Amino acid sequence: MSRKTKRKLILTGRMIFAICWSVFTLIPIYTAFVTSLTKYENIGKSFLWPTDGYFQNYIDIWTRIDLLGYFKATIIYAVGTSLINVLLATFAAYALSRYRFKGKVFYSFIIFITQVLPQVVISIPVFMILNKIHLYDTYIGVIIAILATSMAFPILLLQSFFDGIPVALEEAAAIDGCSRVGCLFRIVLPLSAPGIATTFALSFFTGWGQYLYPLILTRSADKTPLTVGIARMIDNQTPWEMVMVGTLLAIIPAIIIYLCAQRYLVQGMTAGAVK
Amino acid sequence: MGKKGINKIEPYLFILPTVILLIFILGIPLVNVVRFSLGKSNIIQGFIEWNSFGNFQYLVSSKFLKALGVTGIYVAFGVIGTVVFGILVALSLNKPMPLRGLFRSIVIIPWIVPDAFAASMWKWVLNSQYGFINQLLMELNLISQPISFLGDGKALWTVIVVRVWKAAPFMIISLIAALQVIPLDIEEAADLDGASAIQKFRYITLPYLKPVLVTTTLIVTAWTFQIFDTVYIMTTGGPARQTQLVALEIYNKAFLDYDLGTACAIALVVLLIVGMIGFFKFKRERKVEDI
Repeated sequence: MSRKTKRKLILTGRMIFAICWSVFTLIPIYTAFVTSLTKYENIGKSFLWPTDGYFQNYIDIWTRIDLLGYFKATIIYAVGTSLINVLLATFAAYALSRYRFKGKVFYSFIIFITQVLPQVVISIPVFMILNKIHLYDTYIGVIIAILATSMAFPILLLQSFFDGIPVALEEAAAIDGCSRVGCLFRIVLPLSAPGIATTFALSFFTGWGQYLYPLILTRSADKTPLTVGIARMIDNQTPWEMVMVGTLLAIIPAIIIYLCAQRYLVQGMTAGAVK
Repeated sequence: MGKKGINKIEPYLFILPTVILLIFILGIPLVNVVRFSLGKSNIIQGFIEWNSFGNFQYLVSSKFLKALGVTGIYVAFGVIGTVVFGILVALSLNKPMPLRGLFRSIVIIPWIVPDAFAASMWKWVLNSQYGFINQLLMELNLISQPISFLGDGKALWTVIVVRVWKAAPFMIISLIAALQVIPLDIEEAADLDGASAIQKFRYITLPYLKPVLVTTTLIVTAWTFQIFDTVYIMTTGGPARQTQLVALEIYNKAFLDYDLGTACAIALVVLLIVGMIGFFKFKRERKVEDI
């Protein structure tokens, strides 16, 4: 076999594999799309193409379940998580990036461990604490709980961004009488704008997808996010066309944001988790 | 001197908000996990009375050992699948090819899809009556009877496949980033020396990938260990506890059986395992940084 045919063979193999994996990746989303456009009575008949073209499902869903309310709760969790995460992570990452201090290794270790800490393990005592201080069934209670297991990523990510900014800039500003906090907000933050945006987006996704904490830590209907609300429709008599409409509406905003900011998000993800 | 004094507290002021939050939402809960595990406890009253390690008896019951075994299979095959397919996809997308950008965008999508929605979509795709896969296989005359993917004997493997679907993008992204660092001239030299593709992978690619591969594998292992959402929504642990993971076990004990003590005893075991994984990864990364 000549080198050229060998190369061609390898390229074809790569292509076939990439196509297969892409199909595997897209099957659930495509199926959701087809089903979301299918009339209830035709489910199971047309599965390959959306032959019904039944857009009415996308209108009916808003009255079938309280989708608007679920969206509202989801957005509150997502925005709350990302805002607080970015703020806390900015300070923590700045300390880790610019100072040497006693206990730094221990602190980094704890932050690090929160990355792998199972939510379900601490969900019960968290539930009890929130109950005690009357934060059970509140937005802020859920957000605080989410923060505990999601703060590591933003901190590590921002730290890697801050590390990339020369200290000399701050030293020059300090000579001109700029305080450390002033330096952080006037010099370091503007320079790490892409990092901040990435951190915000990634935390937003984290808040968007929370299931266990809202499930355990809330009770009232207006605190129910999309994840819990849509999963609740799944039982013995699942209206699958409605579940798929809801699921698609819930994931499409995230997918669009991802496709638009793909480069930054992917970079940020590798910087935050794997150095 | 005053200035120096401030410099010493400054970093602590910066980390103070996170430290307070960590104590409140992590420290106290963890202490409570230990405390509740040591006695009869329930969700309403908390710790009630000492019961001489009664909660830990459940840890040696056949029920729990089975859950541990199920979790072991889930984690082992979930991680192996993620690593193997992660490497394959990353390798196939590493070098230029037609539509590479499109493929790269597509293969990362599951990472954006929250577990709960991955569960609802896959549960429908694999539906034993009208699911896409069954319909397709029937149409192609590959099967005569629909397969019950979430039924007896198959459910565990199905949720493992869904886990690989969801976790592979993280592996792919990390590995593609790592592959980019391999200098081209090394591979060209190997080509000139007539190295085969497998030899090149074994002696050039793999050594370069190893550090990233180890850390990502560790973190995927820790993440797989704590999966709750997908499996809970797809199977609620069934059929006949065949997908009853340890994470679901904790949830059931605490919120369905109201047996907080036992739930916390299980939680301690999970913490121990995940803590060890985390410790290894932390140590590894510090070593890498020191070099």
